Amino acid sequence: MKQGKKMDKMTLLMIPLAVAINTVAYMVLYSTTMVILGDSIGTILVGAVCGPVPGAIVGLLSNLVNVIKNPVMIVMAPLNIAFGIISGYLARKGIFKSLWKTLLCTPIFGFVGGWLSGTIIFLAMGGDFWGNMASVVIGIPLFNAGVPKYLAMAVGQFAFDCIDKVVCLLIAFLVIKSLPDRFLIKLPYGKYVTDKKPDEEIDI
Amino acid sequence: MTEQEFIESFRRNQKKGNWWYDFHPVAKLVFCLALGFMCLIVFRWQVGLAVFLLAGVIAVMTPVWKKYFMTIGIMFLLGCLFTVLVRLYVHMGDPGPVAFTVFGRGIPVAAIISCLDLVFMIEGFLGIFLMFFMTTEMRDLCYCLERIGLPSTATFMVLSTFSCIGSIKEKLANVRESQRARGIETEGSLIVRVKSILPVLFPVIISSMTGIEDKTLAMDARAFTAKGKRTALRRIAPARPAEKLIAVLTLILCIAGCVAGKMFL
Repeated sequence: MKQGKKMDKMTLLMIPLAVAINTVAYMVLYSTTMVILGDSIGTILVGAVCGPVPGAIVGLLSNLVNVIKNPVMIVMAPLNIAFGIISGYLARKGIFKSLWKTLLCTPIFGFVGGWLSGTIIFLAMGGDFWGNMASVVIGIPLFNAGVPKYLAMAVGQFAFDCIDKVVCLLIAFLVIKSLPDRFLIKLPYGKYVTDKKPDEEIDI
Repeated sequence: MTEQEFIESFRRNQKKGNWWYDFHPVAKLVFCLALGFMCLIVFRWQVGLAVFLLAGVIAVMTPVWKKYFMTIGIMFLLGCLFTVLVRLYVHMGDPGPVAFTVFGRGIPVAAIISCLDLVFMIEGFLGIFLMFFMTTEMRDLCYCLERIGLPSTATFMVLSTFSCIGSIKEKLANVRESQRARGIETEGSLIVRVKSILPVLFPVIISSMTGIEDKTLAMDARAFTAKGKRTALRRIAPARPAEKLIAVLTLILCIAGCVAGKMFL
């Protein structure tokens, strides 16, 4: 019981930290690369080590914090929530134990973050292109080549989001692997991302 | 401020001496949310412009007006201009009445109106929220929300988020300086900067996460989970009837505005 309570408190502290990681990663990665957003690293991380519900809370809080910088983030909140839930579900399946399995999940996150975000933008912004790199580099050339506007935008968003998500998943995986087992095991979903068991002797 | 004045300031309700600053945080939040979402739902330039102007008028009456107009101007240039250019390019040569021509291709009036709708939706939404965040302390908002029934765990999470963002940014700057001292180049061409991301970002994330255990112990030491009535260092006066009335009236007007905007604009 005492152990369970401690885990709850750790999750409670992980949530604000993950939101801060999302904000800072976005600041560092997007300002440098202009392609990789990195604003879901914390969401994926918490989803994987704490479970889908904390992951979803991180996603919601991250978007609420970012509304102040970009109002479009408010309509994107369901997507970041979905990242947390998916990540928790994948962690339960043991996906975050190996690198190749983690990276193979990129299209799942890419579809949610790219295709669905493209759909939301398309509906919310009056059925038109949004001024981002995905539209300029892929969406508009495809549209000019005769592809329907919605499909062109969705494909562009999906392709760009896959690049973003592969980096986010890689960083989340590397962070999980860098964290000590004695730390991971205290988190609710820690047992799903490490091979160590709570009753095994862990080197400190 | 003398030490005694500082101590005394916590014995009475917090006041800044400006009507908008001292507006009850929850009433202010309802007011701003209603207006902001009206811009988003109606999505017409007339509504966005009206909210944007209202936010501007409020800003002029506060001491942060210079910072507000500078921030909103930068956000306009960064966020809206690029989107407007993309939209105009996509609609270049579309059928319909032409507003003007660029490189021999007509820009339709419909495209200009669509751009105006988008720009003023963003500026209206952003303007009113920026005004809220620039003039409201998060700890005051959380205190008021806790008073009306929000669990203390939720307010703790919100407050910790804002303090975490500040501390992690500080840590990032420190790590960047440390890595530079170790010979890792963090400035220069795009490739150099991309290569420097992981050595900077990684230690920040790892050290912040491993520090959580210590914080858990600190929370235990401060009896975070103890049951009982919680006290607060800062106190905010309860919402006055006029503030409640303004919030409720704004909410009703905005709901009516959304319906009317969708029907007639």
